[in-house]
Amino acid sequence: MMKADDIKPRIGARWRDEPIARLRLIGRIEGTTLIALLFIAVPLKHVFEQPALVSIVGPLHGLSFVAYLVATVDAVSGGGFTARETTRLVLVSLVPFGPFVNDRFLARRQCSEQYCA
Amino acid sequence: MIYASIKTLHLLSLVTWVGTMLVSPWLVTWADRMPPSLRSRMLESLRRRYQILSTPAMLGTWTMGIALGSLGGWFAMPWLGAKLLLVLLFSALHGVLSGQLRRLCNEQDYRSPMWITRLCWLELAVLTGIIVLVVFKPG
Repeated sequence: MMKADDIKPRIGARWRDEPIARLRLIGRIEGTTLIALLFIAVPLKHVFEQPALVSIVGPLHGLSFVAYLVATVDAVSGGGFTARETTRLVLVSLVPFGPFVNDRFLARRQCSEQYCA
Repeated sequence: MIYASIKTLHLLSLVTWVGTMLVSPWLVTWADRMPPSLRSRMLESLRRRYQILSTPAMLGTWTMGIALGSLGGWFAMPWLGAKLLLVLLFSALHGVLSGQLRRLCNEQDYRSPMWITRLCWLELAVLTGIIVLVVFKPG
């Protein structure tokens, strides 16, 4: 029998129409830019005095953070999320690796709304 | 020249984004008073236009705005911090409307909540704050 954790819906599947698929995709982008900013660009600026990468990754992360927040509000406004789940969705965007950890939860939610195999 | 071009694109995106955001709540309540077949067609059309116009316009506004802030060195100014918070709130309202439109299209029995018409006034209040901050640049 297939367990919920074994079910892995494709992240790119219908991301234009499915709010959770969209949230997962934007979450991964937001998570990646946060890691790049904190662990590559900021050390390069402060340790090696190379600020160029911060001026590129910083705005990219800002933009992806806004897109993640909008995608979260969009998904929550469409119904089906509790206040606790909403808080969790917002908080994970502030923590490095948070969106990647949260992706399993979103994958399960995506599966409960559609057929997954 | 580059700064002026980005500013032009920023304003174009902004006008498109704000225009669709202000008109959509009225159209939703209007659609709710229509016969069911017409209502679903109207809501589906509204949702499609919202997706292809409003969301790219919002992303364009943010992208051009961040570029303007970087090029003009505005990010150190306190008024811009306050403005960014208000634009973030306006973006959240965009998400609220987008979710409501999807729900109205997908759930036949779902009717637009009472607060959706009042959303316009909240949008106008946030916009007033943004414009005052941009024009007067306090601090």
